[in-house]
Amino acid sequence: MLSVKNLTKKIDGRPIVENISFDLENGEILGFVGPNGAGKTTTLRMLACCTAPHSGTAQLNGLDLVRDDLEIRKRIGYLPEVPPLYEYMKVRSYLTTIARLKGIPKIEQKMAVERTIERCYIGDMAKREIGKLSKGYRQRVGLAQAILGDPELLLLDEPTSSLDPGQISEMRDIIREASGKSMVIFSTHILQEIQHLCDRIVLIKNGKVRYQGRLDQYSLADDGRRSLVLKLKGKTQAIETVLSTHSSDLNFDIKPVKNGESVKVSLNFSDSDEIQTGLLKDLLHANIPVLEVAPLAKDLEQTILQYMRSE
Amino acid sequence: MLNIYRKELFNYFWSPIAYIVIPVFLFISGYFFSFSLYYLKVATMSNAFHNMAILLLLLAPVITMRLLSEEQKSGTLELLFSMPVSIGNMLLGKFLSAVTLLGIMLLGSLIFLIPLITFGDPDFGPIWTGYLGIFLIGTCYISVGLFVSSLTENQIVAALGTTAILILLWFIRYIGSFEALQFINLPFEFISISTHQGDFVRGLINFSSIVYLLSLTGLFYGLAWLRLHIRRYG
Repeated sequence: MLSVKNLTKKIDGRPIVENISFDLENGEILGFVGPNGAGKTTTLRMLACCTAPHSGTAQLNGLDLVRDDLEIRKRIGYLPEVPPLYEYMKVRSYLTTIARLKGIPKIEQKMAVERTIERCYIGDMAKREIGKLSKGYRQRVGLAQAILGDPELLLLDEPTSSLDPGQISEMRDIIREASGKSMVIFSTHILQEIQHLCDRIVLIKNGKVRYQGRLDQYSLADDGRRSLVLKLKGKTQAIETVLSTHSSDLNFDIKPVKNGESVKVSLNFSDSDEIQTGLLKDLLHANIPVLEVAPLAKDLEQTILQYMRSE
Repeated sequence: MLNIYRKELFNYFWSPIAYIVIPVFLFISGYFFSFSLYYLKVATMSNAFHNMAILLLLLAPVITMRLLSEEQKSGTLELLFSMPVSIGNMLLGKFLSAVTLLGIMLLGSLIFLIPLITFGDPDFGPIWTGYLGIFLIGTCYISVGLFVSSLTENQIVAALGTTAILILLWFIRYIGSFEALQFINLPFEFISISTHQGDFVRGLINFSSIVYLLSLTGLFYGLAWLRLHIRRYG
């Protein structure tokens, strides 16, 4: 588990990151979201032990970021925004060098390198010089050095920026797979990345946390209510009766679907599983088949932008 | 430390640096050696050592210019900072790799002994002490280069900066002889690296010279460490 507490970094007396706190559980992917210059990179650099915080600390599975930095560095993988590559090395010898630097035991090095090459789909480039690789492959080699040795914490700074859609999709797969063994924090300003990858997000602006929480359709709503869309088979009147007798807290809107056999019901109620399960039971008891249950898609982008614009 | 050392040594022999610096060093110092041997007809290497020290003023910066500049420019210094390697070990690995290249150059120059032994009866005392002297001077140059390389991400600036400092340290003894500068009461003679080579090539192991050269090496090595420490923790 990673626990970040009041991390602050100043440059020339000006706070770049101010009192950032968040927690991360094992196996979670945390999206670190914010506009350019928000302090994302500085926070990741602090967690990667590349720069020291002025105050505050972070604990990685009981180890202190400042006090035990050498031990922490054995447990992290870091991919800066520009992949840190030795251009003159071949991919395999680069990864072997990294394995040695990471202190992976000698007998495990070869296997760890080969496994990582396979995981990052760079087998066909393993004998190529890094300086001659395309941008997409360079990014993958950069990611490969970060995930090499299955670190407990993976820190990725804008890992998918300026990649083409196919490469982005592959990078996502690699990151998702890596999250099985590591906690992942990745920074991005691309909102689609958050939707595709993250369990939780931390929104940061001007060095301060604006929002943090789980990323699902409900948690970002600031009214504490849940919205669903149901597709039901049955008569409008019967459905209306069930819904109106269920709970006074429930707002609904019924619209017939074009073919006339089913209806679409938009629901809004307090964010509670009990109301939702009770309602579905009532519908089934009234012999109204539930064809579809879907959260009402909120515009994530709009919601995030709203947080970003707030001062 | 060993991993950094290995990586740096690999880089020297992957890049053209080793293949340029070693032959250039051997060719030019060999030219001056044979020139003085032919004209002076004395089985000694004292001139050769002097010429080697001057030549290294220009070649040592080439050896050291990329040690930290390249890491800063390509962003791999961040990578090394995030690895379980201390700044001290990182610097030591880099320093020793450059010292190894220096060692290879000096070992190569042992070939000069062949004509000395074949055609003369050299006194080996001054030769071995001369080698000790040039090795200590070379490590001192490398340490200066390591420090300057930590200051910039531009390799050319690193090389030129190192050359400037080394030339100053070599020729500073002559500054004291300028009448206009007599009022500066500094031991220019002692500060100058060239002063300390004299005893070594004469076959003397001067304790104060060894301490001075090692101290100068330690000073610039320490400054490089401080520079990286500030960059990381400052």
